[in-house]
Amino acid sequence: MVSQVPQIARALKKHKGTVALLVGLIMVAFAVITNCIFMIGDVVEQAQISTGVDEKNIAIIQDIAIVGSKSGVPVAEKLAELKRLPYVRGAAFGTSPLMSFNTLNVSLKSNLENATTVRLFLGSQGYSNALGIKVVAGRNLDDLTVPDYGSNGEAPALITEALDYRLFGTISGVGQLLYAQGSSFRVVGIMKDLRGRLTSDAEGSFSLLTIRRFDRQDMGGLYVIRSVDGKAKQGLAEGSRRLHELNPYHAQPYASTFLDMKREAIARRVALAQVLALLVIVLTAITCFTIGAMTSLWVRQRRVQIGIRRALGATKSSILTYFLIENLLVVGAGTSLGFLLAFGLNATAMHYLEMTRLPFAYCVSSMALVLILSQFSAIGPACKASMQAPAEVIRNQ
Amino acid sequence: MNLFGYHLRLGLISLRRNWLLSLLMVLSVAFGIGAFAATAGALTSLSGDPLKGQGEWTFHPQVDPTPIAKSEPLFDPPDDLTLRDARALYSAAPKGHRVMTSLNWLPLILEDSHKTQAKMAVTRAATADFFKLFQATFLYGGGWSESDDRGKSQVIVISRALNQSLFGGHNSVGEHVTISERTFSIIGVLDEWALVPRIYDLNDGAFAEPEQIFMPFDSWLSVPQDYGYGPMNCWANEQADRDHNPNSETCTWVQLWVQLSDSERPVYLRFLNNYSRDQKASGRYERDPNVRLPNALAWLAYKRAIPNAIKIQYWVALGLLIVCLLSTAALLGVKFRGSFPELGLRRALGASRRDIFSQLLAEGGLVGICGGLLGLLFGFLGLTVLRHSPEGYARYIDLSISSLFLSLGISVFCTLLATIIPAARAAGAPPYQQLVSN
Repeated sequence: MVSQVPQIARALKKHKGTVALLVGLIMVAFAVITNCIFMIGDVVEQAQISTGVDEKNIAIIQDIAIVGSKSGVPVAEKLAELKRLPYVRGAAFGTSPLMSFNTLNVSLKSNLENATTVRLFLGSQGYSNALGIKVVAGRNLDDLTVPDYGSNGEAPALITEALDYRLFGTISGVGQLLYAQGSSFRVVGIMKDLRGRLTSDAEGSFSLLTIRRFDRQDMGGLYVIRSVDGKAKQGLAEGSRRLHELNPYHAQPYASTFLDMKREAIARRVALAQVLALLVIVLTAITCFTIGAMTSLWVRQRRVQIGIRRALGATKSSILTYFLIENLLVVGAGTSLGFLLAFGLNATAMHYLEMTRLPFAYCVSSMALVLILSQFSAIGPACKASMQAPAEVIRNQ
Repeated sequence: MNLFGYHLRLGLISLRRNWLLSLLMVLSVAFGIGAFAATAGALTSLSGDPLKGQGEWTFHPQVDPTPIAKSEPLFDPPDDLTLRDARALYSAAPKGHRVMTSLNWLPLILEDSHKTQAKMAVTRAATADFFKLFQATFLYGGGWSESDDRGKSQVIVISRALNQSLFGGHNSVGEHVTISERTFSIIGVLDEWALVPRIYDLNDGAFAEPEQIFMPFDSWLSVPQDYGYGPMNCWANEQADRDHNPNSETCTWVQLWVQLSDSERPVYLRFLNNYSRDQKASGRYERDPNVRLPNALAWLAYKRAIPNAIKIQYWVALGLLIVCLLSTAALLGVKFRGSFPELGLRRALGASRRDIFSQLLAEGGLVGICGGLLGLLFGFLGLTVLRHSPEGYARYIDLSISSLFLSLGISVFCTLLATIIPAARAAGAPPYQQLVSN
C-alpha cells in the first residue's frame, strides 16, 4: 500500500492545475478555520471564568454625591438601611470585580524589596460577606477588629490562594504580615479566588481584600448588595429605591446585577465569536463538499482505468485505498502548507489586532481533524468506484 | 450576437445536466460573495471620512509638555492639551474655524411636584464653531456665538434624545434646566446627528454613547464639578493633580480642532514648533518641540478607530471568498474535463477554439451571475445580522445598495477569472484526443 504512494503522486502530476487549486483551497481553509476556532475558544474560555464572588446573587449600585447635594445620610446608616431590606442578606460599600480597582505592591519585607503587584479590594465593614467570598484557610474578616477609614496602621486582610502560594510557597500565609507603601496588612485568612478581570492568567488572581470602618463619612462610591438565593434583581431594585429615598441628591448612574454586568462585558466578544462560528461552518461545509464532489467526478472520469485495473486483478479494497491515499496526499499537502499560513496569519493578527499566539497543539489537532474529515468526504465516491463491475465499465463507453 | 445566445444556451444545458454540481458551485459563490459583501460593507460604512470630504482639512494639533522620561525614545505627544496650551493654540488658529472641546459628567437635577431626581448627564464643553466644524444639524433653535463663549452665558444645546425624555420631543428652546446648582436656558435642540466615527473625541472609543448636553466652554469651566469623571490625564504627583484641577499645568484634558487651508497648514505647524521652543526656553517644557498636526483621517488611523471585530470579520470573509472561488474553479475545471467528448465533437464539426472558449466562459459566467444574485441576498441578510450586534457601532452599519451591486459585479468578474484557465485549456486541447477520451 505504501509502495503505491509514489505511483499515485506521479499520476496526480498529470492534473497539476486541479491539484494546485485543491491544495490552495485546503491551505487557505485550514489556516482561516484554525485561527477562527482559536479565537472562538478564547471567548468560550472567557465566558467560563469565575471571579470568585457569589456572582449569581450580587448587584452593584454606583452612588454619587453630586455638587450641591445637601448633607446626606452617612455610609454606615445607608448600609444599615440596605441590610434591613427584604431579600438582602449582606451589603457593603466597596469596589467589585469588573469595576475599577487599585493595584498595590506588597512585600514580605518592610523595605518593599521583591514586591508583588496585587489588586486591592477595599471595602466597608461586611465587605467579604457582601461579596460572598469563600474562605478556605484561616478565618473570614469580622466587623470587630476593623481600623477606621483613613487610618494607616496595620489592617486585617484576606489574600487569594494564588497569592498565598506566590508569597509564601507551601507554608500557609495566615498570620503573616505584608508591607505596602504607607501601610501593612495582617493576613487573617485565605480566599479561594478573587479576580478583578475576566482573565485566566495567574497574576489575575493576585488579590488582597481588606476593610475599613466607614462611619460618619458621606461619600459617593460603589455599593455591593448580596441577596438571598436567586433574588439578585429584586435586591437591586429595592436597594436602588432605598438609596434614592435616603438621599435624592445622590445620582445613581450605574446599577446592575453582577451577572448582567458580566454578560455585557463579554457580549461583544460573544457576538464576534458567533459570526466567526457561522463563517467557519460555511467554510468547512464548502471545503468538504468540494472535496467530495471532486473525488466523485474524478472517479467517474477514470472509470475505464479502474475497470481495466479490476479486470487485471486489483481487488475492490485496493481501488478504495488508491483513492483514499490520493485524497490523503492532496489534503496532506494542503494542510501542511496551511499550517505555515495559519501561523503567518496569527503573526499578522498579533501585530495589528493584539491577538495572542496560536498554540501549536491547536494547529496539530486541527490538522488531524481536517485529514479525518476529508477522508470521510472521499469515502463515499471511492466506495462507489470500487463497487463497479469491471465488465460493465468497459461496455459503457 | 446570435452565437452568443447559442453559447449561453449550451452553457445552461451543460449546467442542468449535472444540476447538483452546478448547485454546489452557485451556493459556493453565493456564500463567499454574501459574506464578503456583508463584512466589506460594514467595514466601509465605519471607516469613511466622518466629515464627508472635510476631514482632509480638519486638523488635531498636539504639543508635548510632558517631562522627559528616564528611558528616552521619543514618544508620541499626549492626545489632549493642558488648558493653557489649548488657549494659546486656540487664539493662534483662524477665527471661525477653531474648536476647543472636552467632556465630563455633570449632574442634572430634575424636579417635579412629586420628587427630586439627580441624574448624571454626559456634557460636552465646546466653543462656538463646534457645530459648524462637525456638521451638526439642529431640530430647534441653534448654537451659541463667540460672545456667549467669552461672556460665559448660561446657555446649553441638548440632544434630541434628551429633549425627548425631558420635554416629550417638543420645542424646548427657552426652557430652563438645573445643572450642578446653576440654571441654564436651552437655546437649541440637535437633530439626529451621527458622526461615524465620532471623530472629535475618541477618548471613550470611536462609537461611544453620544452626549446629551453641549455647553459653551468657559461657562462649563465655571460650573463646579468633579473633573475626575472626564478625560483628565495627569503625570505629576502634585496635590493639584489628585484634585483634578483643570488649571493644572501637568494635566491634559482639552482637545483642539482647527480647519486650515493648504496654505495655512504650514504656517500653523511653524507656530506649533515656535510655541514649543518658547515654552522650553521659558522653562515650562522639558522636551524639544514634539508637535503633531494630523488631519482627521490620519488621526482616525492613529487611534485605530475601526473596531478589531470588524476587521477580523472582514479578513475571515475574504478567506472564505478565496476558498469559494478556488473551489468553483476546481469544480469547473473537472467538469470541463468531463465534457471533452462533446467538445471534441463540436470541434470536429467545425467549431473554432474561440467558440469552445466562449461557450465554456458562458457556462462559468452563468454560475457567477446566479451565485452573485443569491450572494446579494446573503449579503443583505449578513448586514442585517451585523447591524443587530450588541456593539455601539452596529447601528451605523449601512445597508448601502451600491456596495451590494458592487459585490454582484465582483462575483461575476471573479468567476469569469476562475473560468478562464480551465476554459482555455479545454479549448486548446487537440480535438481528436478530446473526442476519444472517456
